[in-house]
Amino acid sequence: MAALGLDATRLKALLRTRARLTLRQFLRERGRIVGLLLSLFLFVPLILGAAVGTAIGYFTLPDPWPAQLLGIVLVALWLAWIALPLVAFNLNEGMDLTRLLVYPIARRDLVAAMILGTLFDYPTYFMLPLFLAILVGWGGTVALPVVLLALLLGYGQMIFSSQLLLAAAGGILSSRRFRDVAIILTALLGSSCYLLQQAAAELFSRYISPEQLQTLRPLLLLQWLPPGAAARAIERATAGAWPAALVWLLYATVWTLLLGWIWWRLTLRLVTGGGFLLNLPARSPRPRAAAAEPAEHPGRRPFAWLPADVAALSKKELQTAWRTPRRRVALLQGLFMPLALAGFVLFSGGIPDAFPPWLGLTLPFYALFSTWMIAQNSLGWEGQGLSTLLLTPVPRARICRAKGLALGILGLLPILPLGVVMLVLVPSTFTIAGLLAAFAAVLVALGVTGVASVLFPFPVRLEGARTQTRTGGGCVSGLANGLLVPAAVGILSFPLILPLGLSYWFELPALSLAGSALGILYGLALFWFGTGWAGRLLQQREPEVIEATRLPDEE
Amino acid sequence: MAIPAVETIGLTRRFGDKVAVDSLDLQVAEGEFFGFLGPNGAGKSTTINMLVGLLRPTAGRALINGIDIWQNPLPAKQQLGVLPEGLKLYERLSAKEFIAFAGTMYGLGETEVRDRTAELLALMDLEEDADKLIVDYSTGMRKKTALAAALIHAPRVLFLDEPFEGIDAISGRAIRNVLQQLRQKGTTIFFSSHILEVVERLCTRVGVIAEGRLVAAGTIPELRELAHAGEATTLEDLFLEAVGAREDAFEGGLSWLR
Repeated sequence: MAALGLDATRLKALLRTRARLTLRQFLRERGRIVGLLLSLFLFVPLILGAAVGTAIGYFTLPDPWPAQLLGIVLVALWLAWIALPLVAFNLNEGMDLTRLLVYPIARRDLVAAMILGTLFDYPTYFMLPLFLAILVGWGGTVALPVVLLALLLGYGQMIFSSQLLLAAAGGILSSRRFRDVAIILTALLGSSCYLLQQAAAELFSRYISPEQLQTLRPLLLLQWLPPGAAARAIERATAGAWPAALVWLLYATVWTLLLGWIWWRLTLRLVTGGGFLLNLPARSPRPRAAAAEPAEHPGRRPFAWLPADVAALSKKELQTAWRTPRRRVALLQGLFMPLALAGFVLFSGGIPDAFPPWLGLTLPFYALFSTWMIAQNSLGWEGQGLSTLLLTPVPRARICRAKGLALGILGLLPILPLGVVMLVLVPSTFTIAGLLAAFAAVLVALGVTGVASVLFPFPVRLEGARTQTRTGGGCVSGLANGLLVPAAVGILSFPLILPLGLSYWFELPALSLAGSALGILYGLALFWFGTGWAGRLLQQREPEVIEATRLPDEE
Repeated sequence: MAIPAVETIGLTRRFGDKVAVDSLDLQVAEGEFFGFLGPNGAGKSTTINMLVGLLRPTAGRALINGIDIWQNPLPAKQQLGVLPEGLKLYERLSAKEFIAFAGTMYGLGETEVRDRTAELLALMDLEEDADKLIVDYSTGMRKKTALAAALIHAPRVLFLDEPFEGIDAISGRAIRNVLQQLRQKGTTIFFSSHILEVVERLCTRVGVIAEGRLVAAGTIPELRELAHAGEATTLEDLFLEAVGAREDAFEGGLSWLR
């Protein structure tokens, strides 16, 4: 290290602190460990598959495609690395150089600590298999030193670029407005993957012919980007064109140094009070006269027919559900079902001649599922506000019923368009009965989830990154919410489902309508009983519910 | 004898082996401005949380105007206004919405909610930001919002946990004036703070808690008398004496600075 001019003692201290902070993030929030395991479970097969696939591609694809693939992989990794802070702005505080610049640490030590510190970020390990595949695919020749150097440059470019983005636009990335939009867009993009994939395949097959595909040379463009230059250097070196390889290496080095220099200047600007380079435009303050408008009585307009406290509670529930990005995502995802159904019809070559007549009878199942998703852990979704709510003298059953009312409206939101789509596709008595039974199913699910929210609450990080939804709550609440509650919802919905099944089996549409109408009464009774019971339980367990919904860092 | 506005009888809270509050017996008369002092971790917030129904006591009773808050929570809570230690707000409501929501929860009518919300926003100098979401507020603005929500229904008993922390001097003055006004109207104020000058200026009586036990209680002259101290003795001196802080603890200073 001394040969590189690095201070080993300081570097060790920096890396030790980084490791300690990373470890504590996991130990303090056990939910992160679950998140890590889940992402390992989901992504490791994908990454390994991609690594093996690209390695095979480097060996077996006809020329010039191995080099094109190499360029695409390096540029894609670079873009993914840059995009990571955009979708999950969650800086490890050990990585935050602005905290370190008050100490007399040399610049090279800081940069070395930052680069080596990325080894403590687990997303780094998602990238390494693809780097290893490049090494396997391209390193088995005399070009190995160039390959190694190019990969190091590529790695440095990725880290500098993402750090540069953070230093330039951290103000935007950490702003509540940007985070809200990022959470919603990322989740919706994830949900619409199927539709996007179908649309892309359709466009690709329509506008790009196999002949055009054969003449494509993406590396000719990508080579001008930082990691593209590294890819071109590898390709030239493997072809034995050493001078050209050195030129491209030099070009990649210039890029790396330039990115590093810009990042350093922006970081210095940040710590010396210059602020972030890019910021969201500040909202102009409202003039005093306008702000002095009298406050609207909460809950008056949409719920004028309800007692004032119930109306205010329901309105508050709807407002916070819409304004909290994660809850909004859940609502919007619910509306995706009708879109997905329409998309399926569209991309599979138009409306089929006949849909199965039982299609409308699936509506209650969808209602049960979507309401369970929206209404489970409804007290946990109160966040910090729960303490405020429980300081008030409002009878607890009223609180539970008001929440149920609002969640019922939200539960019905996706059902109505889906019901309309189904009525268009399958206009029959069974579809109408299915829609009525769906209303009843919403009520049943609300009754059950109301009680479960008091018995098995868990904390939710309302303002965190998208990847950290559930934060603790313990095994019992996890099992109860994952197994017991859906089972209870299923069992208690049996009186709704049975008449539908029987009427379809014996071809008695009138029975399905009568059964669904009675089902609504049954649902109303269950809702009233469930929310009343939840209120009594809540009054007995208030401190315990507050404790169970408290985030680890609020303790 | 009049019923105390706030009373604890053998109030105890244990967290595992640690006794956070140990058999606390305390009475605060109606209309008193009671300062509740103690070093960090002494049990102040734990006591307040048990008194307002947010933390279940391990033993003992907590009464608000004679009503046991753990036996009969809703009537007791109807009389309370609380500014809790951690500010527990609905982050995705605006200050205007939040204050009006709190007013409705305490049963105020439509006109009262509207007028009082506007007045509180003006008092707390939050008018310009009244429609911004609380999640975008600074600590001081959040504190003022929480305080406004605690005041909207003119509570009979007001619990304030560190109300002046993070508040600027202008708002601080306005809040002090409101608290004085409340006291004149007979509101009992249970006030916890580390800023002893404010406590000395505002409070009619003071209680000092250390390691979960009440170690001193009385008016400031009474505390001086108990400590055999003169007129010039400040509340800070009395507080340090009551909690047993050793004045000579760091007499030598830091070893490497000697």
